[in-house]
Amino acid sequence: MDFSQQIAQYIITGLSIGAIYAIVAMGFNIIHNATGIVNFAQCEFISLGGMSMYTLVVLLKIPILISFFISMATVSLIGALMERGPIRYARSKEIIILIFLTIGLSGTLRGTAQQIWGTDNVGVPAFSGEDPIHLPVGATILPQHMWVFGITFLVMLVLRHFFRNTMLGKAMRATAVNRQAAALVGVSVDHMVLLSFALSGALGAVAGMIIAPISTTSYDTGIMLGLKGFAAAILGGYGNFAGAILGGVILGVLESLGAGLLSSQYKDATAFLVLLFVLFLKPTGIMGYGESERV
Amino acid sequence: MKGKALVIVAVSLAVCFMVGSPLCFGAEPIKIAGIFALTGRAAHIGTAQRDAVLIAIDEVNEQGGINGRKLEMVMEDTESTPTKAVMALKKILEAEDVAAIIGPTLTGTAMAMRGFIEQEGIPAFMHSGGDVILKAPLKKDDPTSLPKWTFKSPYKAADAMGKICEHMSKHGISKIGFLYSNEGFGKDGLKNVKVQAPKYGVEVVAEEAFEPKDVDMTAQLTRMNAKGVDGIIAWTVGPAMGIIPKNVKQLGIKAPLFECHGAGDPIFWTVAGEAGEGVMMPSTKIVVADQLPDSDPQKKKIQAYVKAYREKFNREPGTMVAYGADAAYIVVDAIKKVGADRAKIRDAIENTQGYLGISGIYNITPEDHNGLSMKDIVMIKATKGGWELMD
Amino acid sequence: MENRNGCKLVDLPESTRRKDRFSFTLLVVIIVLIPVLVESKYYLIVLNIIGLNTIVVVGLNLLIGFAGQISLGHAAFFGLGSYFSGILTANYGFPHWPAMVVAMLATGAIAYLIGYPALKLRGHYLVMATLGFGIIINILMGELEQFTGGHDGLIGIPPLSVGGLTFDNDLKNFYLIWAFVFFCMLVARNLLDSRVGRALRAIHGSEVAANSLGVNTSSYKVKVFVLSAMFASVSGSLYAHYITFISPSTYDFYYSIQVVTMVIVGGMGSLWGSLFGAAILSFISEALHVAKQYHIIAYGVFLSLILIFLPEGVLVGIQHFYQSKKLQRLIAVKTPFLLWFNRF
Repeated sequence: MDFSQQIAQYIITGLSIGAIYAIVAMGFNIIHNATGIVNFAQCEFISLGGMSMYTLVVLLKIPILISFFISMATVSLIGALMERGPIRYARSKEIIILIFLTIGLSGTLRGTAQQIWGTDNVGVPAFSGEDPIHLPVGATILPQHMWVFGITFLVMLVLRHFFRNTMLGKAMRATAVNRQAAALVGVSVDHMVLLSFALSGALGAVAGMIIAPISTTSYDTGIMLGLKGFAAAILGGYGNFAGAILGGVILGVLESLGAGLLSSQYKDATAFLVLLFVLFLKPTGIMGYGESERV
Repeated sequence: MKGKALVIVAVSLAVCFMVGSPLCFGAEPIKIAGIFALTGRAAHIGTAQRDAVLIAIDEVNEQGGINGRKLEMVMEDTESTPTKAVMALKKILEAEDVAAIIGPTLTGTAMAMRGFIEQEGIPAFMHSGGDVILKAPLKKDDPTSLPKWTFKSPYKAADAMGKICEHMSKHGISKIGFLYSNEGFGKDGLKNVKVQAPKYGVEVVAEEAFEPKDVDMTAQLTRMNAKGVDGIIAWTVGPAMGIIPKNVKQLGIKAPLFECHGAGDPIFWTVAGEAGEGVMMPSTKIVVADQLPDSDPQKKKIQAYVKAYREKFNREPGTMVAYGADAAYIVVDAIKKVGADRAKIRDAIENTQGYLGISGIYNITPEDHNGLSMKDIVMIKATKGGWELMD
Repeated sequence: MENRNGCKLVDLPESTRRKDRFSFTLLVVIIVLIPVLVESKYYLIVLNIIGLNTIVVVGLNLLIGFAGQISLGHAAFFGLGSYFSGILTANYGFPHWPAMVVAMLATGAIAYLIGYPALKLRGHYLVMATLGFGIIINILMGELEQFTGGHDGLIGIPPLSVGGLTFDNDLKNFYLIWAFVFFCMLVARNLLDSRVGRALRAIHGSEVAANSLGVNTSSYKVKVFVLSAMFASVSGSLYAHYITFISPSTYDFYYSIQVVTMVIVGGMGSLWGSLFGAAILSFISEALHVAKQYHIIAYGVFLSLILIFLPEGVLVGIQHFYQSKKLQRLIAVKTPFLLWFNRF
């Protein structure tokens, strides 16, 4: 394999993992836009998506397509219940309190997952086979990687359509810009918040499900992916959708190139270092608008 | 009259209480502490080892216990962290009168507990993998201050590495890449391979690391492959055991893949799927019990144990189950010989010679608190959802 | 007068200062008495870990509760204290106490280097920056093997000693650690009573307003960040000399999250709340082991419940509960106790 083929491999690998980070980042963004908080339970949505696929496809032998949507719906429901229950009833709306509440809920979900599925990693069958595909640039990928790219692209299109062209999507964007104004024009802010958690649950589940055949899944797979997805969201500009994709891609490719060209031991350190560097230069992320402070 | 009788009865009962409950209320169980990683990042290993130890304990109790006393295991959870491991240790030492300790799981937790175990003076049979547990002196400035109360059941990681290198040199592999998980076990492996490989004429031409929870190692493998390796060793336990064979298959790398001595476990197949076919690794004999030659003295014992494990837990034992089992059996054996006295148990363990364990034949001496050698390790190949013993 | 966090912003009248002295005295009395009443070495180690966490949490509370910033990377400073102390004393035979001071200063310097640019960030960006920093330091602990011993950890750290007295068991370390806790809380209290404390509270209330009143907000933010890092460093050094073995896994982002949780549960902006937060969460974490394998779920549920129902922190929550009872009872006997309790 000559050098240009190596680079091509690094980049393709980076893009595929970057796509996952992008989806997770979008999940973080949706909740941030609706509520202003970071939902650390996003990590559990990812794990639960993967584990749910495992139960449905491997244990109950339900076809992959149906399992996909059932899992998405289930995790979405869990997200909604999380909002409707603990988050809604929290006495304080302080952002830091709610963030740590999501951390507490995340721990509860993770502990429950551990009880149900145990601690082992499990494999999930690939959506369409495992024979490597050889690309013209000299890199190889698995069919599952094509699914990752395809589904990520689809998700992007669907979300874009949702937020631009549907009433509900526009209402959500309105809530993100200014909650009071949105309420004044008749948007039910409570429903928007609920929807944001449900959507974010669905996105987390999708991320977990499409990566599971490649990486195996377990009750805590989502932690590192969630953390890096959050980093991707921040890198791209927290709350900005194009930023989520950009951040995800950059983080994924950087990690891969770092491992391949520099040092695999310091790959994560390099990625975070670059993140810090970007933040110091542009404190609101690459495409962020800046969090305005109410005086 | 009645009052006097009552007083006498009451006083005798009180005396009974004070003198010793075993005499009045039946034999007290002998307690052993089981400290494992039951939650946290090593939970899947810790729970498997706990199960392995439980089989041994149940077996002893079914046969009537030790001198009529039942064996009871008091368990604590290290949560896979050193601080909690030390707290668990102190808690057990306080709350219960335990004769010996079995565990822990992770090398980091073992190292944290070691100092306190030596201070307390209680025999501990560990099943953590790190050679450093027995090799690192207790005092920095005194290289002879080796642990007296600590023993270890897994064979030396160095020997496992040696076994792989020996196999490689027999099969004409001379340039290898070493892909390791960027934490204690993996880095230990890196040190080992640099020492062992030259002994067998093998050269390490590429070293790459990955984080334990990473999902894709194609970048590292690509870089390694570009250096023209004719063999790859992947040194990790956890999901990466399965991800790496998949990546190798994806990239179409032809060089044979070897994994570490912890990979011989049913979970390997769960995570690797079809890509696991043909991967080779060193292992304890427990996973290929039926393929052992009849002349192997361990065969019967291992087969019996595997049967009991299958019946109780409804799954196949992995290679690391052997470590937990041996730790339990050797400790129990010592207690059978000398009773529940800590110092005597320690001495008995230290003089365990020719013991037919599951991981191998143990010859423990004051200098070698592990007692296994390369002879006890076998090379196996992953094939068709199971394992094939290689010679 | 309270800001939106329920954090009291008024200056302290003399009567409350007297009560404060009483509280500190009570703390000393309890510290001295505990080993007499508690013989269990296990309880001592739990209390020691609580003490070490309290030191970190007190410093962190200055940053989060009073200055209104956030840090999800303080495990790094705790770790830097451990590693600097550990490496200097175990590998190079440095005298122990100067090593601790060097560790504190070195950690403070690193905190300044990272804090100066990082604290220009706001909100979630600051969260990510501190989180990223914490992860980078944790990775370095494992990678720089010649110094740190890598992932196998650093062994053979000598216990601290003063004159002929060596702090090599749980009881002696109890006194040592809690003496430090007392001292650190005193330092924090004095800081909060001073101009600096008032400036911090102003920044928390409204950074823009504080700026317009002439408070150099960025300078104060960095200084309190450095100070909180130094607190964590001291605690880390004590930990290293106590357990005599350290490894990178202790200083991961889970620990960073844990200490911030202790700040919140105890009550942001409440000095004594730091002690309560550390104590409650550490105790609960150990006590929940009775739930065996369910203890992770139980801990998550417990934490969530506190955050839902007692978001101002356990201490303030108890206060409010007490006050509402007072309205119903109006028993004179309760009042002095309430006034004293109110001081917290």
